[in-house]
Amino acid sequence: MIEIKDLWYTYPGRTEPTLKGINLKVKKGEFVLLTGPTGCGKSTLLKTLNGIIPHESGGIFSGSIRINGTETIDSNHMELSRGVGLVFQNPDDQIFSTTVEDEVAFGPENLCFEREEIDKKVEEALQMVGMSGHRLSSTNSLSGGQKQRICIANMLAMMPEILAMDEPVSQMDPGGTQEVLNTVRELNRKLKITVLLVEHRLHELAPFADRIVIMDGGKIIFDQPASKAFDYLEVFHRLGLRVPEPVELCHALGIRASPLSAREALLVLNRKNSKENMITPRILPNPEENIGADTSALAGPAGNNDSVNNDSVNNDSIISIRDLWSGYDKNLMVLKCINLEIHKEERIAVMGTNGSGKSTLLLNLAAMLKPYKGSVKVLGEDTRSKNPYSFAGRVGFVFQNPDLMLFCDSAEEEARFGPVQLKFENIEERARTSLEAMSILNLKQDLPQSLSRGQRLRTAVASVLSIDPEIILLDEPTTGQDRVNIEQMMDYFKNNRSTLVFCTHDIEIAMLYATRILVMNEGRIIADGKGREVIKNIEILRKASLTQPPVVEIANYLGVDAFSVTELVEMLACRGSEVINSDVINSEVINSEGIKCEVIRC
Amino acid sequence: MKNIVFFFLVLVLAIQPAAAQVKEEFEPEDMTTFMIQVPHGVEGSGLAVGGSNLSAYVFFESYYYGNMNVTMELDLPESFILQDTPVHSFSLQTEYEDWYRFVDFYVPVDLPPGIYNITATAVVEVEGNEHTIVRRTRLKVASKEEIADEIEVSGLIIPSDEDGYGDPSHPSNSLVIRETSPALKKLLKVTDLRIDREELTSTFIGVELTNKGDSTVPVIITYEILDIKTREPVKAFKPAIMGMNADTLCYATLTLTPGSSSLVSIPLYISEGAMRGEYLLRVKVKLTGSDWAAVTKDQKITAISRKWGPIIITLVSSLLGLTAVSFFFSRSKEIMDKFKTRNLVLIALFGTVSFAAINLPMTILWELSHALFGPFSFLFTGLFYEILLYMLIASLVVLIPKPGVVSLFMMVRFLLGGFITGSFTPITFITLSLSAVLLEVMMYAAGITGKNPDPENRFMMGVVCGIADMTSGYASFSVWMVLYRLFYSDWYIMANILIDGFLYTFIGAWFGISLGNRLKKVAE
Amino acid sequence: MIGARSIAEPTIKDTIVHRTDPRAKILILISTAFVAVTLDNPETMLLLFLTILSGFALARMPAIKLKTLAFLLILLIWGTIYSQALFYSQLPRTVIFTIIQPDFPVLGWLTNGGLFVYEEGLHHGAIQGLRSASILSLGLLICWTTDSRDMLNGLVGLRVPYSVAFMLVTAVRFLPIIITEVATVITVQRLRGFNPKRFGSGIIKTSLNILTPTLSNCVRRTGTLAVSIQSRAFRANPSRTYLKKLKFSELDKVMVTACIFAAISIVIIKLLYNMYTSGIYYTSGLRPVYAIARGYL
Repeated sequence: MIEIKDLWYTYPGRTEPTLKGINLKVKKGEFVLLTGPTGCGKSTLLKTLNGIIPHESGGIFSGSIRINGTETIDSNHMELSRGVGLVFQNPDDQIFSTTVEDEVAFGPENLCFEREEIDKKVEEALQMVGMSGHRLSSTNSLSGGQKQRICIANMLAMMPEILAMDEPVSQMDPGGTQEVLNTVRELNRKLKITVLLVEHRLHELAPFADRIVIMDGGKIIFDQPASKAFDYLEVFHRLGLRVPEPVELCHALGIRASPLSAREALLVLNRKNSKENMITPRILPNPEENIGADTSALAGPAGNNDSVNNDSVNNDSIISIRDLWSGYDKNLMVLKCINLEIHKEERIAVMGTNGSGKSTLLLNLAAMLKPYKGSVKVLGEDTRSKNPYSFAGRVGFVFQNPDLMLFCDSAEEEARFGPVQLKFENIEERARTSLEAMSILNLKQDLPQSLSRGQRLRTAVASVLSIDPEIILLDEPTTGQDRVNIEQMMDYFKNNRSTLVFCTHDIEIAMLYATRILVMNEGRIIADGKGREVIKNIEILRKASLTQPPVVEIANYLGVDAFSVTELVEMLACRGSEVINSDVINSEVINSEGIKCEVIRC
Repeated sequence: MKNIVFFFLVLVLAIQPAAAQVKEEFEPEDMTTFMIQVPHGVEGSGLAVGGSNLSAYVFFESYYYGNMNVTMELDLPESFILQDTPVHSFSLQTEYEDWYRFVDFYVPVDLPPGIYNITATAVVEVEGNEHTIVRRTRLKVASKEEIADEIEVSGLIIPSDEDGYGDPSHPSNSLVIRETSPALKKLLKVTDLRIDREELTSTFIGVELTNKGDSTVPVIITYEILDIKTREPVKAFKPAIMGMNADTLCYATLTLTPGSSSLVSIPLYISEGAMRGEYLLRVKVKLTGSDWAAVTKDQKITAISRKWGPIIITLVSSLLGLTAVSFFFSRSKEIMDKFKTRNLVLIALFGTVSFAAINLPMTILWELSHALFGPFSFLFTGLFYEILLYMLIASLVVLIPKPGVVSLFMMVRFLLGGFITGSFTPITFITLSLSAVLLEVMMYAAGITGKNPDPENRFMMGVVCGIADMTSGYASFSVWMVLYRLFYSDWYIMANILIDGFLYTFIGAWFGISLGNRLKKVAE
Repeated sequence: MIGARSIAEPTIKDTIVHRTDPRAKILILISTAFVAVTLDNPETMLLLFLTILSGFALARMPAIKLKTLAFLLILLIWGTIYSQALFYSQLPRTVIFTIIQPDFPVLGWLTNGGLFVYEEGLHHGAIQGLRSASILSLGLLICWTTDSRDMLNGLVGLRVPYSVAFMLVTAVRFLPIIITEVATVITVQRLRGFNPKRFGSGIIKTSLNILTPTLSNCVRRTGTLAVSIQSRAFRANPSRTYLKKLKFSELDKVMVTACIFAAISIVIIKLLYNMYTSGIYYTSGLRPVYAIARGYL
């Protein structure tokens, strides 16, 4: 299907090749997961498949790419467009039409299909991605997941045999991610469409893939079937790639297996346990008892005995919200009856689906939105009579897209901007410290807009840190970012005991860094408590389209209170000292993903 | 036979002195002309009103070959006040020699109306013999009411031709204020439009007068063009001509015989400062010698402005815009093929940004700033509008230095404005298309776009954008004035195009280069 | 509050106005624009304006749209009235208020003899404002009763090149996104202590500060969007087919014909009349035409 031989490519204006001798074969109907660190050339490789490189881009190209036996270099744009469909990271940057129908019809129209045929293709493509009910919808009214499915439908309408996808779920909320991945999986399995998918989030994608290919420095350095790929964990660790938690767990337990989901991990543990009579829990509670067991703990602010780092939290309330109703239209309240107290040095993760009111809550905290009803007191001042400028210097806001925060000529100027405007002292010192904290001191003279995505995020954060605000608000800082960047930033906040409110879809980040998690649904706070308490409540998580991390899922089924691989391994090791006879009861429960799991019942 | 001829010749020569000797006899009535007109110009009985300064005209001519001494005496009614001596003596030496005098007199205001006899007596002394010749005339002194009833302005034709006749090809009761720009005048002369003087345009007013009475009336007809509200004379219609007051040129005299009607024309000069609008034409008919206007006739007139400058600018701009669009439509494929898809997307997004950052806020800001800053609001709105717009244009050209990029950007803006706010207006079309054409041509000529483009020359970009915006700004004022009939003062237009059009645009383009350079790094 | 959304978004209903073919709407708008700039008779201008306003009733426009329309019209007409009150240069004119005295230092000289508010200018502005108000109202009526894709199809139907139509639809699609981004950029800067209201050089700084991040984002977005579009065979063929086909109804044809005929007639009549008043061309046979122009147009 795809045959790449000794492919070299250098972008126009650059001296260093981005692709250096790529050799790759992909069979029809295969699902290949292509991964690797940022800048390794994955996206460039995808663009070579449908001839955009070199037909449209120019640059120096050598080697051969054959799609179904046809050389891309000799084919015309139209033939290649029909053969390979490309889907990118941000659906908002791929959709140009105002309605779904127009968007999907665009490709077939360009291919000069007859009207009746276009109509049929549009309908079929929308059906394939489960969006036929939205044919006449406005593209702006769709959710992120729906938009990405439309992007896939765009390609399917042209009947490609290959779908090449560049991080298609990295900007999705958990609900959207599931929608898109299920769609891709169906297409691959039922229609035998070859899928070549670039993604960092191995732990989520690996279960779907037949093969995992890793690129580094413009070369393919690893190519193994998915079932065996994680036997070589050192490769993943060396490249900073995130491995599925069940794999980590098994490897930590010394089990030579690579389960890609909680279910598989449980099966492996079970097999291991029964065969080798190894570590298994003594008593596993009925999993159904777990569901919703902890809702009582969720009402009202939780204590601040953060088990992640045992921070001692100051009890001074610096944000106090009473009966807050707020929105952009008085007839359509986004936030409904919010009551919330935030104390100094708390780090609060706000979670929930898109549209649940997370960002609106942050905007209220920064006095950018005013309550329609109720009151918001920030640092003791009622926001109703204030404008955002009055909180400048005291409340720092890092927006979802850090690019919108960068407007100066250098990273250093970005960091200096706030202190200069606010007429602070020690401007140089503040700028230097903040840039250093974000590890971009060496880039201080660079144009911020031209830095890499992670560096841009760090510059944006540094520009806020230099003001040293009393409260820092982060609106989905993790979206579309590498794990390394996120961790570096969050570590800083944690170490500096900042008061932080951040929206995120990444439950692992929330677990790792938040002292408290708020879960929002339809404008209301449906859970507010310590991470561990919230995460145990599957019902609450489901409402927010969240799923438990696999390790928590496994721990739950094992009846263990563990929230990370390390904790689970430690706990299981403790119990391992007791040799237990166990029976396996073939009971089936349905986990939050709807996947049937076999539960070990002792 | 020869003898007979000779006899007659001798006879003729002999008889000749004898015949001359016979004509030596002085016949006063036959050998002189003696004439009196009171007032001057009136043959027969004249008409006057109390309070008039009149002149009696006395004329004497000799047809006698010899010398004659004349003593002429004018005998006016006692109640008339003579301003001059009534007795004059003179001698005439030869045939066809003449003598005349104006004898000024004043008709008192309080003189009772009636018919007054005036006699002129000439005592002619020829070779010692005195002959008396008498001439009599009458002057009717009438009351003002009587005179007002007798004279009537029976027609007022404006504009008229040189003879006072109306021209159906011109709307009645209207004046056309024409272009006074010398260059345009030259151009328009070719088209045979009526342009009369270098600095002035002129036409005529036709006045028809009827004398219903039985006296001959000498009249002076003058006019004034008044502000219809304040009734103050408007100077622009009585300009000084070659240093002379227009009053010395803008009148007509006429002697109306009893029961007659006459048409007379009076020139009307319009200076370039004249404003269009509604005026009151006031025609005054005065009896000769009197300042009193015997008859006044008012007529509402409309001054139509036909300043060809803005009209031509509007026409040229529209044609240029239409030509550019037609050119684009006819060769759209070749033009669009010069742009990569990413160029098209980028231009579209720049169009969106310009709409989001400029057009939408300006919809409200523009009017609000008018309320705050009045006519000086352009100083404020230009800061936003021109600076932001030209920052965008300059940075876009830095990113895509190809001919056509500005036109596509303008097209997106125009269509977006039409899509979102329904502003598919002729003025937007003309202004934007003209602006696009000027920018394209000038940028290409200056080497900013083209084969070896140099879009990063700040000064050049600033100057090109500045000049283009000044020109299109000036044209847009003309279009507003012509198509939307709006008024703008010259100082306002000048200030606008200099400050908004050039200064702000220059600044915008200057900083747009920096912005473009930053974006270029992002694109890389 | 009148927001960008109430200005920009169409209201989709099933009325005769909504059903009219977008090409017909565009042609009617162009014809009306010609008529509006041709007319001089205040009564006829008012009649035209009222006729256009009746279209809003016919389209059963919701209150928010009517409120938006009223707001925009008031701004527009008031703006015209205000400017004409100052610059009215036609006699008679009566000063009702002096803004700058003729002997005021510098400004008196600059304004060439002071600045006044003229009573007659107010009337003139109100009448002339009707011209722009008619065009604006009809433009908004068309925008508010036509889905943007139909409008786009209309433009393509009127032979606007597809590449241009593509750019336009891209611009429309990204408008709400970019408006949000501009708002975010401004907010970000305010939170970092920057006050964009500062006058003078502050405005240049503000402009750069707003445009830099917004455009950087656009430049990045351009890369992805262009590749995505190209991968869907955009411009791969010299021609393309269309899913949607517009159909002119009989009523559309009648309306368009009537409007174009009326527009051409009015324009010609006024042109002849203006040629007559300018002394360029006159023929006695056209007297009835001149009379119509003088009396009604």
